[in-house]
Amino acid sequence: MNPKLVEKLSLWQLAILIFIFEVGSVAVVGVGQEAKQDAWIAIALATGIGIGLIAFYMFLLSKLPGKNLFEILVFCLGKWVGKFIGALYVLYFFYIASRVLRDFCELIITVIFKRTPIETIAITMMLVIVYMLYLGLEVLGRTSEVFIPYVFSFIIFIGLGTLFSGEMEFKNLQPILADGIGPIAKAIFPQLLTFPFGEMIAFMMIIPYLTKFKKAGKVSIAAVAISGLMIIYASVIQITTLGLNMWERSSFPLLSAAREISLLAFIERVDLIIVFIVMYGIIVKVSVFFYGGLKGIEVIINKPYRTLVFPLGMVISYFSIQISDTFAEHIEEGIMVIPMFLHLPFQLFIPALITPILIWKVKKQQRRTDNESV
Amino acid sequence: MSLFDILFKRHKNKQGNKKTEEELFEQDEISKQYFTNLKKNKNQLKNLFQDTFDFNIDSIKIADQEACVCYLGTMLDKDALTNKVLNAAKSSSKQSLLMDIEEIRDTYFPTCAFEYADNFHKVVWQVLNGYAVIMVDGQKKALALEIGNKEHRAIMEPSTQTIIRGPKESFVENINTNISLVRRRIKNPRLTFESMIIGRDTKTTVAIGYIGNIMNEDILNEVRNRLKKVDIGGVLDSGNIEEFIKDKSFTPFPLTFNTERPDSICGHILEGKAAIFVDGSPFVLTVPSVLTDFFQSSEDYYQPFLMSSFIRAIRYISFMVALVLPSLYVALSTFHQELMPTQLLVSIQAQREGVPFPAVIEIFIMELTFEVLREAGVRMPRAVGQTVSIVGALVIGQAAVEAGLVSNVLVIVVAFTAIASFVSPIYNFSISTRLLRFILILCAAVYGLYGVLLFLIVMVIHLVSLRSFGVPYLAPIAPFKLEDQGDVFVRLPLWTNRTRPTYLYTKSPIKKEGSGKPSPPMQKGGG
Repeated sequence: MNPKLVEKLSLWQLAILIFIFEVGSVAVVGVGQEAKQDAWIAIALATGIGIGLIAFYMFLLSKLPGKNLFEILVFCLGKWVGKFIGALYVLYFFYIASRVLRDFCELIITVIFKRTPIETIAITMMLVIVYMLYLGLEVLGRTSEVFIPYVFSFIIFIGLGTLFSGEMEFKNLQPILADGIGPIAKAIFPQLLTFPFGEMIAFMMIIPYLTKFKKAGKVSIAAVAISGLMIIYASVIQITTLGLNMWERSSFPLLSAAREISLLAFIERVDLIIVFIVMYGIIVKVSVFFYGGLKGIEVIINKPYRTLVFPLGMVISYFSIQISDTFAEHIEEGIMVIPMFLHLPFQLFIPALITPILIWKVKKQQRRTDNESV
Repeated sequence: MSLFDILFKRHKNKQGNKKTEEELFEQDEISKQYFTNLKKNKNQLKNLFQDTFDFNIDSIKIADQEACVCYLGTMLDKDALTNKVLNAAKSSSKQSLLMDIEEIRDTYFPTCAFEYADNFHKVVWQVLNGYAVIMVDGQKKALALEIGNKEHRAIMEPSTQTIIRGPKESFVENINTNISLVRRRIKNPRLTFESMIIGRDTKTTVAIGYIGNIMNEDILNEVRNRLKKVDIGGVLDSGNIEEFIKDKSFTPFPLTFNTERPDSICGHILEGKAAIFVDGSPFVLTVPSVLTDFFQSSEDYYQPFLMSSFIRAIRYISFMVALVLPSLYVALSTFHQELMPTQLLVSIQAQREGVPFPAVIEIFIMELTFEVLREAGVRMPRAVGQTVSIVGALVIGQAAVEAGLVSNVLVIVVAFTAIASFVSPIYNFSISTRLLRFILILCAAVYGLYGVLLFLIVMVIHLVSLRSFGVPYLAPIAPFKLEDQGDVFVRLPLWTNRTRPTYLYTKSPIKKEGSGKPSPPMQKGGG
């Protein structure tokens, strides 16, 4: 077949994936509770840092065009150490994938199916993701293209809906910066920095497969900025509609906010819309992490990942149930343990450590090729 | 490689069979040799056609030479045969010059369309096609004369794809007539029709039509290759071919577009697609085709663009309605009563009070009943049509409600679903929703709205993974192409539409230059 007709991930698809990846789950779960009513400021600052982070990842990728994170690791640290660190990354990606999946299962169990076993939700979700990844990255990108108008317009709709229902109280945002900068800093570091922005590390497995790699940096920065705006928008809706007290206690604040919508005495109880946004957001997020892990295994054992999709998918859905006994435990781990001991090392420290090695090795390689050519 | 491929691998065609007319009968064990001896040829033909009552061999004398005319009496007009051939032969019998076959043609049949057959296969082929073949003793070639076929069905209005404004012609069964219908509309020397013969037993003529300087060469080669690979016993309709050239068999969605409207086919050819004509079928295929093709009717381009855009929106909405409405009913009434407005919920529950079945069973009963009615409606003899509609409407609709078997709301749901499913302009796309609807109802029964959403996502994943001759099935939505959006969900005015669809990678992507926006004439002198 003509190579022209075989398409890889386009820039537009990358932007959409980043957007859904960032917004999908965060908008609903609600972030930045430490900053209280100033959460939106914290998110805005975190977005700035997030842009810096993605620029840093893009810098690493641009040193070795066409190579993904694992190949960079192997290149920098040698075959054995590189593969060992790579294996750790695989575990990290799979663990985060199962955590994200658990978030969604809990949402479904608490909101819709109170008596359904949580396992069935995890398995059915995972089957869809397995099917998608079995068909390839391209299909993930195109499916997102189909759903992006809905995800985007539904989030916008929730804001307008609550506004026109007269539920928004902008007084809830005051006082601004009541306790100074302290709570904001606490909210940003490490929570907001790592989730959702640091999780962009998984895109280091996807960006190398773009058709136009050169423009990927600008596009992904723009996408992160737009998703930051969207998260601010969502958190303003949550805080103004629910008030600080309710917002902090609610597990799924956007859902609680959307329940306040009542328009024309007909458009009410739009939970379904939220569930759809989260559902697709979760599918994208799990897929990206899962794909990252699978690609890592591909580098480590040198075999195409397709045969592993189904068994490992089932393992992830099993772990999503087993990682914690209750939702409270799950959330506590997510706030107390994960950011410090998992997110920071994998999202920041290891990439930062390999940066000098990478620069040095690339230079050495260039010098060698220069010498050979002379 | 899918399981299906492995299971059916042994059926795959080993010989790359491009069939020319000479090789046509090789597998039928018919000898190829044409003798100079007339008797031998006659015997050979007689052995082949044996007991067929309509096969005739008439001995004649042309220019004092032994000759014979062989033909299938049912395939040609016998009056014309008598006038053209037998009379000519009679008038020539007085002459006694020895002539070879070319001279015979020049002298006696100067006005007939003809072909020479230098081997026996060609002779057989021409006889089968309704030619009269003249074999003269001592000649190396036979002369095949086209006499004029028996009548065909006349060109009529389309019966399955009717429109209000626009050309009213439709294709017929004869491939030559069909091609002429297209040629008459596109006066372009680059409009090419390549013919090939497909079908071991039926030897059906199949033609690919395209415009050479528009159509992408790679896609065209793919079409050619796939058609060459078709190995099938009989081709009775373009539907037979369709199954062989699809990219994927396990899909409810049609991957080739078919229509009986010449104007629609011309539109597709001009966009840079290939049309596949099959002799004997009034339905012509075009490839590659994408999902949005099935929401477009050729009338969209003949009516004002605002109206057409609105109607397109209606089509997309009714596609979704036909797909999900019954499953929404099941999900809402079984799992998510709180999502319905209270008044509606109360009235639905009040009606469902006496119904002995759960909503799933209820809707399955009614949907199945409707499918049975629909099938009966299509197949029944016209004379009993009244009976079925009365029984369907009164007995099953009204009586079922009155007997308390189903609720009134449900009948409305089923009826609206049914009507919505007829909106798609292309029948075999609208039937694809029928199958999916039942699966969706099952999903809704098991998982409520979550199940419905899950299945819709799976459906979209399936759709984006489909390809039609290498072109993504969901183009230009995914992968998204901004240039093509003027003719997808809305139809912008024709003068804005300057390019051909980019996903077809045509050789001349620009349709026209300049905007050509209509405007009132400029007034001179101002004021």
